[in-house]
Amino acid sequence: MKRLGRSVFWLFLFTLWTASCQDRPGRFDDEMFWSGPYVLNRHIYYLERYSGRVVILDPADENEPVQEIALGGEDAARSDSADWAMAFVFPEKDRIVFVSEAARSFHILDDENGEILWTVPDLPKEFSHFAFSPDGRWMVGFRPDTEWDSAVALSDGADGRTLTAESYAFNDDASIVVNSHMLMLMDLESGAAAYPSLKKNDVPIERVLFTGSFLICAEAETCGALQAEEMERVLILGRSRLWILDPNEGADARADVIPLSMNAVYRATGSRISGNMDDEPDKDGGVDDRESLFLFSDESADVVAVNLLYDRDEDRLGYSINKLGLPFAVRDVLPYRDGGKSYLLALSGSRDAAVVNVDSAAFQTLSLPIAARSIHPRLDSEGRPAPVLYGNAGLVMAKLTNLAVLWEKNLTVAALGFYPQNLIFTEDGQAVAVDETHLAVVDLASLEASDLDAVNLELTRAGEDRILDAEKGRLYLLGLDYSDDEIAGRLSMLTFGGGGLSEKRVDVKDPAGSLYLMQGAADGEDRLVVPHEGVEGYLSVIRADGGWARTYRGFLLDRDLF
Amino acid sequence: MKRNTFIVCCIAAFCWLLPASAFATVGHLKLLLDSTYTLDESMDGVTEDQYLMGGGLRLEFEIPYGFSAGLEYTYAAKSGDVLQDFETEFRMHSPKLMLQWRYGVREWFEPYILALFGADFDRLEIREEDWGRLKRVEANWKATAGAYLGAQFQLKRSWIESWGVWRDFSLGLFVEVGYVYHQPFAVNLKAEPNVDIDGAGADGRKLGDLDASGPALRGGVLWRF
Repeated sequence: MKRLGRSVFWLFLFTLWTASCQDRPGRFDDEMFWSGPYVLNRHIYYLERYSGRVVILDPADENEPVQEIALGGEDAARSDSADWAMAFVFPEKDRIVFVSEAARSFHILDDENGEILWTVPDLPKEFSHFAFSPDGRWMVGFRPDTEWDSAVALSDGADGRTLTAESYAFNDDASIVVNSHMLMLMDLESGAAAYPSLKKNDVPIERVLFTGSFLICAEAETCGALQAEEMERVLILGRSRLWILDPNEGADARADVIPLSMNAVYRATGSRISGNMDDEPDKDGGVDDRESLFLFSDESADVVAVNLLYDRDEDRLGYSINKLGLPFAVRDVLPYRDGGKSYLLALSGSRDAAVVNVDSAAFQTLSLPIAARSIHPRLDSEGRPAPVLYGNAGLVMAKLTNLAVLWEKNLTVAALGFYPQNLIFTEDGQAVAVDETHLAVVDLASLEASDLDAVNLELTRAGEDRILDAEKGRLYLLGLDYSDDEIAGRLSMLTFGGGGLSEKRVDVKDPAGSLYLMQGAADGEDRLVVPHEGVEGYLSVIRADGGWARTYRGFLLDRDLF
Repeated sequence: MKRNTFIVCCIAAFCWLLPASAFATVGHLKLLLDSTYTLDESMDGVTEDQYLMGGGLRLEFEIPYGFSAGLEYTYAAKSGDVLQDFETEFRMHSPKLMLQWRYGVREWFEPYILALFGADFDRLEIREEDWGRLKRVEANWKATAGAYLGAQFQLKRSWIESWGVWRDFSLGLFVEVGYVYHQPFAVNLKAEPNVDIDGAGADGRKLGDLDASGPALRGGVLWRF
């Protein structure tokens, strides 16, 4: 009996001792490295960068709002480094791409159902920047050159791991430039990816743009909408160089190279092709054999007109350029037609402006009543172009008919009286100017600024984050008040319409300071997302009419931790 | 609910102790150390190892047929960290009723079997390490029970009598091994509506169940009176 008791006692002690040597399960020591929130139209995503886990929050699902998927598969091991490098959201906020550095793969999720749509494996290069065609069909991935990239590529190149460099060349006789000139060209309708390479790659890629679809004819004389061919081109801009390629050619795409002859980084007039305003597809002969694209730069006083002209001999689209010299570096341009001739209105960012005859390159400099740096194209009530030129001081409405001659007679000015941090245009013809203490709504038809200082922005709370929904004429402002121990937030939801403005305010506790908009809910009501401080997953979703709200907490820990 | 549970515990303790003390001839006061090896992995997240250490006090009265009855209070606490971002602190107060049957092998050596049953008042705090913000406090009353084999060693009666103190006085040591069951409690990261509108809702998440049950080793000193 004694021996048995003694044996039980020592066995118990031995069990305790051996058990104490065990480490606790690794899941308790896992570091969490969440990226997010990525707010799309219907779902909110977070990416855990060590494991590739994606937490998907669906505010429309009241029973099971949190789902989780493992991008690398349920059995994929957690990596020692944050291999799940990043995520990026499509412009329409209908898809999101998660990137695995270790597997060199893209995982594209469809936000409609929160499921993986395509996986693109075996990426030949690291693509860090992306451009999307206006119709949402094409995505181009590229990697612009930076000093850091150059250093990495050079050092990596020595041991054979040339991740970013494909070529080495001298640029400006000053530095060695390395830059990958392999693109990722992805058809977003099929998920097929191609990797065309660019010729003459001694100049780094800076920017990629799309022309958008345009109609062009082989012969101008017999051209009509029926004869016109729909085309689209990708514009790849480098310092003093332009590559143009047809995305429909896929991996076989061979880019035309156009030297711009100027050492400057050019911008185009938005992502859509601008220029030939004679095109009227609804009329016979309304489409011709030429389109023009204007490139300009903060660094150069030259605007480059790139003419896309159908080459009947080659039976393909050809290109030519002509330079329009101006006395100042250009901040924005607007091509227009007047009296059968092509003109370009160019702004310097100060009061200086110019009207240029595109065909002859003759220009006339003019002075604006206020400094303007950007042009908002619009049509007046009779369908005539009536762009708005704007800057910090206010807005100028311009009538384009005989603009160079009439000039000031064609301009209508609205001074704001304050310097807006944001000037945004709604689709129903209003401009909304906001700074930390002011909000003004300008009716563009009459250019009269409403005195809306009565909309008290709660000065100490204004200005943390703001979102404009131009389509619906809504502005959302998130302001913070740090005066108490606890950060207080106020969400102002302003709606413009019918010449009036209405505001609904909602107090939000402990906001982190950022604001997101979800626009794809099944009930048609948009939702706002306000993250709160905390690494456990903590945010509130608020319906944009202020009629519903829900706070979610702990969804990044929700995995049977204990 | 918690207040009601506390009142029920107090009434139970009173009802238990009153008849026991009425039959009592000899009492014991025991100061004990308690070490529980928690079998469930859930405690690893809180304690970083699988031991839960604590201490307590037991008051028991000898009643006929070799039985003793009384009260015991133990307290255990442990802190740790989890997921490298959160500090945890777990505390457990356990008032219990006890019933013991001892067999006097010698006057100085008495093996016994012991049963305990009562309540745990568990409290878990989870804080964000970087900011020190209190993220969650869980506090729950849960049931507990335990069964032990033990032995107590007392000074020989001849030694005590030589000191000239009263007849039932003695000092000693005790050790006991057994198994303790703690009813698991759910750890919820509850949320409150952070948006000031009518009908605003909140959705928290359950992080799991915390279970501190397991084999236990206890020991301490006793004072017989």
